[in-house]
Parts: sequence; C-alpha cells; structure tokens
Amino acid sequence: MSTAVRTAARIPGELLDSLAGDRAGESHPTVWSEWLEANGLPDPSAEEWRYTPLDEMAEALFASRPAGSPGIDPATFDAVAPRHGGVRLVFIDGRFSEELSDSPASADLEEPLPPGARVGELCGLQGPHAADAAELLGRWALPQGEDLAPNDGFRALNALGGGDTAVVSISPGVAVGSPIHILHLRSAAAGDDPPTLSQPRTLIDVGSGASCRVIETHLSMGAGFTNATTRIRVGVDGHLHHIRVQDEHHAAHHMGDTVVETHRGAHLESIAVNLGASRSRCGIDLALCGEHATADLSGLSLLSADQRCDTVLGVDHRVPNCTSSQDFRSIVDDRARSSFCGHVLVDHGAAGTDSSQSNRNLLLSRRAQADTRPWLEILADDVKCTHGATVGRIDEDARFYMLSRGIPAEKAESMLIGAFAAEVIDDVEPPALRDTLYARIDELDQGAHS
Amino acid sequence: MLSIQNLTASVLDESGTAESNQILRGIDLEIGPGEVHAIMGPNGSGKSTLSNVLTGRAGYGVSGKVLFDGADLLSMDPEERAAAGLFLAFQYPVEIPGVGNMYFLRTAVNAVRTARGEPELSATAFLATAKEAMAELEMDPAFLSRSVNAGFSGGEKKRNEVLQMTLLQPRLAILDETDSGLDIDALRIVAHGIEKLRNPERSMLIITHYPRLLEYVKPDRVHVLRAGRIVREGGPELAYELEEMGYGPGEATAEPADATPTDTADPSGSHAEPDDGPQAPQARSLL
Repeated sequence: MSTAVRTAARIPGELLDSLAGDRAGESHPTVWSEWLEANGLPDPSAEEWRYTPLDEMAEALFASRPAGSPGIDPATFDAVAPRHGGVRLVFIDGRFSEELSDSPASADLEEPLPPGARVGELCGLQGPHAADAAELLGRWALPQGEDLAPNDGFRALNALGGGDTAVVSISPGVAVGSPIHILHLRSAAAGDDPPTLSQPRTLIDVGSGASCRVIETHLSMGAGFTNATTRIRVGVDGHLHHIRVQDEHHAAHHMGDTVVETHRGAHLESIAVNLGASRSRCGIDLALCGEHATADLSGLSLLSADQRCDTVLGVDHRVPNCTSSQDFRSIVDDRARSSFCGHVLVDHGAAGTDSSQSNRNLLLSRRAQADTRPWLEILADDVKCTHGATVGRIDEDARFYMLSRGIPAEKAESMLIGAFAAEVIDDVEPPALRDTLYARIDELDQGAHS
Repeated sequence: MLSIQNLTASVLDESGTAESNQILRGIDLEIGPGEVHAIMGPNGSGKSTLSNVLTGRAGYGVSGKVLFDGADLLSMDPEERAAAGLFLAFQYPVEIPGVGNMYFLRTAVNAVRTARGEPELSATAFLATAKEAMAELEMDPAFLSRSVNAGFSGGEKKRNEVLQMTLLQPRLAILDETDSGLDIDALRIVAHGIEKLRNPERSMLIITHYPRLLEYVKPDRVHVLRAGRIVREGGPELAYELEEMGYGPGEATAEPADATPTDTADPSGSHAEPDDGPQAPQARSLL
C-alpha cells in the first residue's frame, strides 16, 4: 500500500481540482478526492497491474487536463468517424454532442429503434430507463461498493471527473436489430495547451429477454489521456453482442475499464479490439451472477512501433453452471509489446463451471515481445477449466508450403497473419468493420516489409 | 528439362553454417521433357532432402548446379520456382488452420498465372475448374470450404496435393512419397490423377519406396539413391528387382535418417495416416 500512497501523493492537486470543479453540481466530489488522496493510483506490484506501464501512464495523466471547449469541427469529425449502420451517439471529450449524434427517432436511420430501446445521454433520459441507469451507476460508483472488484484510482478519477454517460437501455423482451454505435472522441490540444484528458463513460443495460448489439469506439485526434469506463448489465436471458474498438492517436495513452455482470441464462459476446495508443490497457471484469449464463470474451491487439497494450481479465464465476470462454490474440511487430493476464476465479460452490482460456501471440519481428499469464483460481469442485498460451512466429512450414505453390512471400505472410486473427475477427459484425480490421492487419504486415 | 550436376547438400545449423556430414554427396541426374523418373532408396538416403533442395526450402548449404529449362534453379526463390513450373507434392502436406482451401488454391493458381503472364481466373471460372478436378479425384467439393489440409485424413491430404498439381499444371512435378499411407483404392485414384497429368511437355520425378505406384505411372528410368549418391540406374524393371532383392549390402548410410528441417517439424512425426485404413498389403518395406 505504501507504493500506492506514494503514487497518489503525486497526483497534482491542480488536476484533482480541475476534475472536481468539472462536476461541481453533483453530489459527492469530495468523497472521490479524499479516496484518491488516501489510495492513489494502483499499486504497481499488484498482480493485475504488473504489466501495465503505470509510471508512463501516471506521467501522461498528470500532464493532461480536460479540454477547454469542444475542439473538433463537424467536417473533420465526418472524415475520421466511422459509421456502422445503426443509431450513432457521439461524445467529444466526454461531453455528449447532440449535433453530431443521430436522433433515435430520426427518419434517416435504416432501422428506427423499437419502442423500449432508449439510447442517449443519462441526463436526457426519462422514466424507468433513467432510474435503472442511475441505480446501476450508483451501485458501481461507490468507492467500496460490494459489487466492485478491487477498486482503483483510475475508476475513482473517472467517478470524480467523468464526462456525460452514454446510456443504452433496452427494456425487457425488446430486440434491437441494427448495431448501436457509441463513439467517444478526444480532441487534440489547442495551441500550447496541455494534452487533453477525457474520461468517457458508457452504460449498457440489457433487460430480461432483451437483445442488442453495441459497438463502442474510442478515438482521439492527438496525444493525451483517455480514462474510460464501461458498465454493462445483461439481465435474465438477455443477449448482448459488444465490440469495443480502441483506435486512438499513436501518441495517446488509454486506460480502458469494462465491468460486466450477467444474470441467469444471459448470453454475452464481447470482442475487444486494440489498435491505437502508445500505451494502453484493456481491462475487463466479468461477474457471472446468475446460473446458466454464457460469456464469450475475445480480443485482438495489433501492435507496432513501440506500442504497448496490456489486456487484463477478471472472470468471476460466482454461481454454478455458467460457461465462459476467453480467446485473446495479439499480433506484435517492431519493438511493440503485448501483455495478457487472465484471471479466472471459480468461487466456492460454483459447481458445473465450464471455462476455457486461450491467449495466442504472433510476433512479427525479433524485438517484439509478448507476456502471457493465465491465472486460474478454483475454489469449487466439479468444474472444468482449461487454459493455453502460445507465443510464436509465423509457421515456417506453412509459409514454405505456400511459397512452393507460387504464392509470393508477402501474400503468404499476410494470409497466415489473417488466418491467425480470423478466429476473433470473423465474429465481428457488421462486415464492413471486419473488412477494416483485415485492412489494418495488411497495413501492419506491409510495414513489416518496408 | 531438369539437369542436376554434382549437387551436394548439408543441413545448416542455427548459426547458418553447414554441419559436417553431407546428406547429398554429388548427385547427377538428367530428366528430359515428358520423362518420368523414379528415385528409390532406403530411409535416410537423402530422397526428401533432394526434393527440399530442388524446391528451395531454407536450411541447407548447397553446392553444384541445377538447370531448369536452362535457368539456374538454385538462385531462384521458392515462389519463382513454382511460377517457372516446378511443383512438389509434399510427403507431409502442411495443415494451415484459418486459410480456406479454396482461397489458398485460387491465390496460388492466380499467382502462378500472373507470373506466367496469363490472365487471372475469375472466382466462377476457378470454381468450375476446381470442381471438375475434384470429381476426377473423387474428392467431396466440401473440401474447398475447409481450411487447408486441417483435419484431413492422410489420404485426403494426398488427394489435395494431386488436386493442386492438377490446377497448377506444372512443367516438372516432384512427388515425394505421394503413395505412402494410402489404401488400395486411394492409391488407384491418386495414381490415375497423376497418370492423367502425364504428357510430352510435363516431366515427373517420383520418390517412392514401393513399386505399386510405378505400376500405374510407369517410369522411364529408375534411380537408386543411397547415402546421398545415385548408386544404380535402370529401366522400370529395376523397381521390381529391388522389391525382390532389397537394396542389398553396400556402403552403410552415414545418417540415421533424412535430417531435414521438415522431418523435425512434422507434428505427427510418423508415417501413420489415420483414416485411410491399414497400409496396403503389398506395401511391404524394402528393408
């Protein structure tokens, strides 16, 4: 703890003040300031923070400040912002942009949202959706909340100075066909201003028997720090397909924190794609809270130059008879480094648990690195838990086989790299997003030859 | 068409220097257009090393000269050799999970066509050609939608090799123990597939332990490879003589086995082929 306190002491008071001031109208900013002063940023020696370059993260965080005013003009925005077919909500520097977002009732949408599906900014919601969302947020937001996995300073910072909350709330029994797209964009600092700090928040609440797809994208226009939290609840027999894409500016720092709970019979499919940022962390904490739920978590990181990306999973089987799978892959070029820590906890009494974990890393250069750490903690009997990890290079036998058929070396390599990623990417919808990912893999591979 | 002159090869160690014992110790071989040659020999005589060196696999220190249609084969990259018309049917075809067989075949065919200055085949045209060739080989068209060789039985892999050969239309095909691990029916189908490709413009080099394949694809010449050298040559009758008499006593082989990079990397590590039934009864080892 001493390390944590020492780190906390370095959080500039000016930064804390600027964040607290940002939410002056809300109830308990002092709670967060006090919590941060007492606990600080995470202890670098803790297992789940072991591979995260916390020093560099802290340095970038401390140097950044919330953007003064929304710093992007609509033309620039249109040039960079992807569209995925369904309704799109846009948040710039953590603030909801009504101007750039679709109106859910808009006639321009291919498929209008059905009644019972609400999307928008938390404060703009009304009725039971807003109450549910507020209740969820409140539960997750408490510093020592019972449902929260070990709390940390980044969560506290987001709670202290987080932006508007993007909410997707689907009423029981409602099925939404087209994907709901939540786009968080951090602007570049203007002139001599310090790099920008953005703290996006996303809340997804899928009601009993409801289903939807959500694509959550994080982009940025320049160096700076993004400290994002996403909170997800999948209700009884609910179904969520969630894709999270981190494609930030190459000099950016990104802290991603996703917390999910699934209830009885729920089905979650989650794909985490990490493409951008100089330093990034992709944390996912999943609690299986009701029996017979299925959660398939997968992820792909494409890293080059001196990028680092740390994927940290906490999967908590709290009740019997749930199934989870984790399939995380990384493709690492140049001097980049990918890390993976996959903690699976099977609680006392969680009999009938079926969990499988796979982490595979493909290194494209001699100086590329991958760390992999499966971490199974099984406190129940009668469970099935498997894990496997590999770090390797392109299979020479397969490569030669392709060359011997006349396929040029570059093409053979890109086919093999694509095949490595395919198992994760082929679950990505819509197809246009999948094609974009394959194109990014090709770019990475081209870079390897230049 | 192919002229091998005093070819030697040693396995390179990790630092890239040649290990002391040579596997090929001076091979001379001439194959004319349309000719079918067979190479037989005991395990460890260098047969697979010869096919690896001819197709350009890395990991060997090579000297000597190989001319392919007059061009210096050893200075070409593996994919250039394929484009020039060289084809190797692998002893152990490689599994490539995640790469669809159809995508693989079409990419290969079009890469070779492009290199030869021919127009690429459209998806439709390719599919029609592939399906026709598959019917000849009694292959289920469903194989096109599976990953390359992944989960194929031994016999299916060998058929897939002959399918690739049919689609790529090589000038010279090297068949490395294409008959091993096949049951009688599969051997007949594969052999017919090979024989059908025989024409006055296409040469073949068949590496085998058994004369059975050579009954279907009758060779013009048979060579006996032993300890890295060709020690006997003759007509097709030599294959039967070898089966009767064995390779006989002679110079002991210097190496325990073909010390090729492929062998160590082969995941199955054995000749056992799972789904094609027992070895053909006539497929008795010659040693």
